[in-house]
Amino acid sequence: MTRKSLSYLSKAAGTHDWGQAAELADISGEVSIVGVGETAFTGASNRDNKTMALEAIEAALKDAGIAPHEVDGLMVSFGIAKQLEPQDYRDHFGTTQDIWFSDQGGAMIWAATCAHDAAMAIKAREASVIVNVFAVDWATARQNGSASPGDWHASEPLKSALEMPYGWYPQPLYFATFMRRHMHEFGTTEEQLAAIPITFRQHARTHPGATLRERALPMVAYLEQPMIADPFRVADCCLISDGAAAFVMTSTPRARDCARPPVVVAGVGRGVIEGAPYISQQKQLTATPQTFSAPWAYAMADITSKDIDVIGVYDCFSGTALMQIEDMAFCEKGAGGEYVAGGNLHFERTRLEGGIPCNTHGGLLSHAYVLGISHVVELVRQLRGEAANQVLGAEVAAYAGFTAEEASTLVLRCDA
Amino acid sequence: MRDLLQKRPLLWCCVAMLEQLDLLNHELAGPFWQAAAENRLAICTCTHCGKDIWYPKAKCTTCNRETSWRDLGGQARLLSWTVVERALNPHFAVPYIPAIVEPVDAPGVQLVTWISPEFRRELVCDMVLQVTFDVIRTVDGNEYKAPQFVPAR
Repeated sequence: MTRKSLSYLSKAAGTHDWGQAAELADISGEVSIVGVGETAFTGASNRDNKTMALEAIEAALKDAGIAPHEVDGLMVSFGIAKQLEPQDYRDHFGTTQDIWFSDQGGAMIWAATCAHDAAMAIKAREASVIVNVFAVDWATARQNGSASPGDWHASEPLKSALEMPYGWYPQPLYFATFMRRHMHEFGTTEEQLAAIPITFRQHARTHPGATLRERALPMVAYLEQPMIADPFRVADCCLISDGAAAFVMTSTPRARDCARPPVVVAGVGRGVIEGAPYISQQKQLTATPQTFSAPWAYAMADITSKDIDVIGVYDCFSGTALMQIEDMAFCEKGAGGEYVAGGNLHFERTRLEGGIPCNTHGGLLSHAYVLGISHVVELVRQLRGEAANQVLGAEVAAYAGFTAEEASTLVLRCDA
Repeated sequence: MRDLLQKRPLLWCCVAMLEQLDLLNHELAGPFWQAAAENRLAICTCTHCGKDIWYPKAKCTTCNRETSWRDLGGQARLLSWTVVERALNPHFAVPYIPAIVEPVDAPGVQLVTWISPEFRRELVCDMVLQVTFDVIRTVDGNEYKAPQFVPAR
């Protein structure tokens, strides 16, 4: 198989004056996801992060039909909550193997880019079976008043000196500000934006793992919610949850011997804005770095957006999902409001009918806030044909990861 | 603080506390606050190549020479804003309006700032604003004169 050069991928990603794609080597087809696992997702539960991570890993290994001693690679998130270390893994499973370890895994953008790093590690024979895991206990932490997603602002010198004095934190304010601009430039309305939380809630209502499955969200109830930071209401902002998820990656040839059909990693992209990490300095307020990331991943996978059957989009806020859907080229820039309001994100509105089923588990808004790793788990289930809200004929899927100043894209496909 | 959190447990409550932070002597942003104390709006710039450096840096990102600061006229274009209605962080009384503005004489520079809530009905993206200087109280309890903006008359 001929590998695409960096210059080919770079040309596909295009040049932009407000950010760029990272130079990720073509690893299309080299690795597959062979197992997925999750804990229950809840509000404050007093569950320990590492215990949840191990529970998710056990489920993922069982799903893959892989024994704990066969795992020789572990990827976790750096800096977000307390994550697992190789010794925790060995202690729990009673194994003694050497474990290749990376803290460039976990959730958010890394739930996509970990597949690229895993492919490189497997190619270099540093590991052969790699588990990516992410656990979060922010619901418990918030109850205890001990930690929150906004905490890191105070540790960043220029945010604390030039943004915090004006109260420009935590994160809902960033994207409320950006969404306001989107409404101004493109005429996007509150009712159009509402289609995102409402559609994701419809998905959650019929998904057994979703924390908000018992609560309906009709338009009238949405519009009656008071503003948090306008134009965002409560339903436009992600949950705060406890829970963990994991997935197992190995080489595609080996994946074909596992218990479940392989889900092949077809493309990976990563993009970053100029001025990172300061999103206040992003020069294009109505877009996301998905603009740079998605075309790179599509080129690696040899697809366009028209080939994608189902997506998982990092929906920390309704507006960030809306803009990423545009940036992934499912509609023209600025047409996202009209597009999502037309029912096009619902799992029954397939690509052939002009839709793009999105966050079929309910997303961060209605499933659980595990920072995107459950989006990938859901896409794997979609491609295996075992999802709760199954998209008919789903063969190609894409995950859009996001931190704010960075975005990533993971293209998955059924094994040929 | 715990009381506040328990009254508003909903989401995203930010419990971060700043350590005592001396803005006037801040390593990179100090000159911004020193200028504000004298009713001047100033930004970091490179006098050698003429490029504005925002956020401030010690060295120019283009020519790598030492940066300095320049005063601006005080008019700016409103890029966007939000009216914060829920006390997401307990240090700021709601409603309040953080905003991003682009000074008319420093294209490409984006300032995070503050607009008084009395103007909330007048705000439109791209309108021209005028700087004013008012005292703000930071979360560690210190008070500083800070550039803020009002609709230009």
